Amino acid sequence: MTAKKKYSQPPRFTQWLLKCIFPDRKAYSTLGDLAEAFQIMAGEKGLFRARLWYRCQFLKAIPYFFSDLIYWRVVMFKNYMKIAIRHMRRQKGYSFINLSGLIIGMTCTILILLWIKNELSYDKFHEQKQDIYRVICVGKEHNYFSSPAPFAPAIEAEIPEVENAIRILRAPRFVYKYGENVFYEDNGITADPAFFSVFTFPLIKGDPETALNNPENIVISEKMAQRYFGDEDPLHKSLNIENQGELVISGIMADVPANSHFQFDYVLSHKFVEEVRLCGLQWGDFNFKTYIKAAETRDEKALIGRLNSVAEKHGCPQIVQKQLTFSIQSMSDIYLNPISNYDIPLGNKRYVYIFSVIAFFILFIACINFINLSTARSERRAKEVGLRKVVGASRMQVVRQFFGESVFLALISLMAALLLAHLLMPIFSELIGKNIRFEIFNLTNLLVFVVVTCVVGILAGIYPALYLSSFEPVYVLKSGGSFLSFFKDRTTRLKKRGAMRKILVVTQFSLSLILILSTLVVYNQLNFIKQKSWKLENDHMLYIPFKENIAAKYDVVKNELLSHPAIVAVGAKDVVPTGLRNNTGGVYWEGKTREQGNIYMETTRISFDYFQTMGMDIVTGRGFSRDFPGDVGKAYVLNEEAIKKMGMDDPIGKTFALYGRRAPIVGVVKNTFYHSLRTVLRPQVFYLFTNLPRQTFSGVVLIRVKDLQRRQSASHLPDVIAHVEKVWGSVNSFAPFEYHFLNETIDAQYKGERRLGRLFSYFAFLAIFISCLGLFGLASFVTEQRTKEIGIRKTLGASLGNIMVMLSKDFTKWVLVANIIAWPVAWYAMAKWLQNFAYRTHIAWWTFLAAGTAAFLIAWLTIIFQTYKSARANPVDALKYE
Amino acid sequence: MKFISRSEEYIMLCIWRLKKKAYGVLIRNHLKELTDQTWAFGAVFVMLNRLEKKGLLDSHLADPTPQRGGRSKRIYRLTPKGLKALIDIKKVHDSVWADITELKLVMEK
Repeated sequence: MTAKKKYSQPPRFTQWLLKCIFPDRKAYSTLGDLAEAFQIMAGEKGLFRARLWYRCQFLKAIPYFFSDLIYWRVVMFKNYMKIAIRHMRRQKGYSFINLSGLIIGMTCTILILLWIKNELSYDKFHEQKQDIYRVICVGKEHNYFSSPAPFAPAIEAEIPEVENAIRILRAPRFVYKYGENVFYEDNGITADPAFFSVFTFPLIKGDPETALNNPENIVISEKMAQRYFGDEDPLHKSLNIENQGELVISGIMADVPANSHFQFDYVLSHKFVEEVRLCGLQWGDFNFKTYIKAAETRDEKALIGRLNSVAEKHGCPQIVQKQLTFSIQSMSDIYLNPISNYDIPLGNKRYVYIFSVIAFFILFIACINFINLSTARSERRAKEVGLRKVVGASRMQVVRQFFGESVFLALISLMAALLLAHLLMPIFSELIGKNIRFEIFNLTNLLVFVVVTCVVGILAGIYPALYLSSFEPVYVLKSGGSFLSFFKDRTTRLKKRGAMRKILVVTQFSLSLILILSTLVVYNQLNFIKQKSWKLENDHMLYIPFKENIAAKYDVVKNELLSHPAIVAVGAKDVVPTGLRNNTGGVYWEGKTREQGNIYMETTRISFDYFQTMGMDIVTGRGFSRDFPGDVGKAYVLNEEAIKKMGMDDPIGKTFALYGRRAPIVGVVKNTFYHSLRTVLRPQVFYLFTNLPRQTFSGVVLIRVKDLQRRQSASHLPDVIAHVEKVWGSVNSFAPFEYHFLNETIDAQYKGERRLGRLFSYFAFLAIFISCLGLFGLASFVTEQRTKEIGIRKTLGASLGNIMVMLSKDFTKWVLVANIIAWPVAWYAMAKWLQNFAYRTHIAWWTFLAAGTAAFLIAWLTIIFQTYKSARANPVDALKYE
Repeated sequence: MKFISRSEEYIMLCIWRLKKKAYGVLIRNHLKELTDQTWAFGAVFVMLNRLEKKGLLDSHLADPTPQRGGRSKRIYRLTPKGLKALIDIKKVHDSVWADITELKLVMEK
């Protein structure tokens, strides 16, 4: 028998476990004893029984092991808490800086995370969201989200994977009336009957299958029902539209959730569109949004191919000519990936990223304060650590203690931050223009909070914990005895530690600077847009919609309006200047070459006085005028961009054709920007209304009002508006009066950017504020440490100035380095952001200088109080202390 | 003075009897012979630790053996204080039991 066979081993895994949980140094021999007992038992009762016995030994040990562990943890935890609270109390200033920084940081983070959560929740409420796609068109330069009317029925009939195809059109701004209640409705859509069975917009009353079957059907939201019908039951009641006809309410739907990418208050049937010819319904008219519900078994690539081949088969001109190709976009992707700047929802994935980064920045800055202050003041706790180690604490225990402290602090901050976030929620909601509900006891929210707390606790705690736990008890404890040896040791340590602190302060200031710089650039761009956008030098521009009889009696209205002395000009246009444009590739001009290909132009129908009213300068030729009544239908005016694109040298008199109608170009008008500057200025062609009342669904009358006295401009405006209302009332009896200022409408296009600017400035302010809090703490620490040095220098004759320079030199250096780091990063980031805009300001050098100077000033202001105080102090007191 | 407990007494007695070979397994086996009961390892080790802490025992590591998976034995020894405690408790026993001999006769009946 070999030795190996003789001594069979106890179960290896159990043995290993036992080894892990044995509390003390005796583990080795005790395990040996157990192994020997195992041998004996194996000899007496067999191996199986012995193994069983051995395992039982382990199981029996477990409860004792844990009760022991928990008992000591609790004892130590109580001690740690006590010490932590004592320290916080003793150093109120530092605790305040730490806590307030963390609270502000966490509040920002919580708010931003809630916003991000909201952004990500868009369109997730549709039960069939996996199977719903939006059809989009990919063009050479731009993408579009529209498709022609016959497309949906064709693909539904011819492609088996398409279970449903739904056309959606945004309804014009109709007026509705029930009894005495008359309102404009902005948010309406028209849709195919299957709308309610594909999308999850539940009907409270009415049958979702048949609600949109007839052209006169309308489904309204609860909110809208309340507005018109109050407490009455609206179902099957009739609603007057535009004084033109009666609609029957066939269903009441729940209000559309805020996190739906399309928002609407009512749905009309698609048959209504066909009946009243709301827009072009041919294969070439890309007016509708098409959504498809695909079968579960589908291949996206094949589906896209089939969509295109169906369109080609039916002779859709844009597809046949290869100008566009159809593609699809999954429902849940739509909100965060708008495919064009006209996309209504306009969520932005980039902003989600940007703000996540900002939230992290601010939190990180707050954590740096914590790290810096706790390492800077570590000397105060060095003795505590030394003593703990001497009485037997392991390094792990000390690490755990300090980790616990930072997590404890993070928890306190979390409580305060939750309260603060709750209080700030209304303000924040207003700031971002979205209503976010704040539920603390929501599972995902709770998870978010826990994650934030842990991140803060770990981020802030890891370095101090490792650093403090590294103290050698011998050094820190013997300092009382031999001061010199400790001093020597301390200076080398201080140097090393200082480096880390420097890096952190520099990081802090770099991050703050990046935010400040970004804010400046965003504001620059906003200013640039303001300058570049259309505006009138002194005058105001009002507009009223073509409602009821305004278009039919346009000449009467115009003359009436002009009778007011302040109204200097009146013109008309087929859509609001900022509204969706009609784009067409159906243009031809004299001298067009093959290479030029198709040029897409924006077509605009206008009245004779339009250019004059809008103050648009004619570059060459002439504008439209009543002196040339023959211009109606027989003349075109183009903008400079169009001429440039067409490459014409001498455009006047050349033949131009729109939709095949040939006419000479009579004038060229200056480029005017009234669309969002995110999009490139388009070539435009202007031509006159031929039949005013019939060609205008969404036209407007533009009224230019002279600003009589610039100082008191507001004073005569009410009078003018009253006059306009009177004129409105003289021709209209049904539609309620309304007016808008054009500059406000233009401004509204940049709501998102302005919001971004404001948010940026707030966050930049918070970041620099927290950084300064930390700097203040550090400055007071450093000056306190150097009290004696300052005393000696002063005795030897240093002046106040000398000492202040000496004290602020370091900080100045740090801020300088921070500038150098921040500038390229901010430049790169902002250059990326500016690429969103077709027209962008350049990033000026003075922006950097301004931000840098601001950072210096703020940093100096922060530390000047401390340095001045200690520089002024009486050296006698300084040298006497201790 | 405070007397040691009964089980402490047994263990120390075992260690004294085993002389220089007193370690966990042997002590436990000896206790079994002595008291005719199986002692759990836990019971033995807790006692040993406690006595060592009280200063009645001391211990050192001996050479490892293959039966133990290469681990060394911890050999226990009575300290002078321990020996005195044992002697003290024996004296008490002797004096307490000195005049009782009938008990045995009664039991044997």
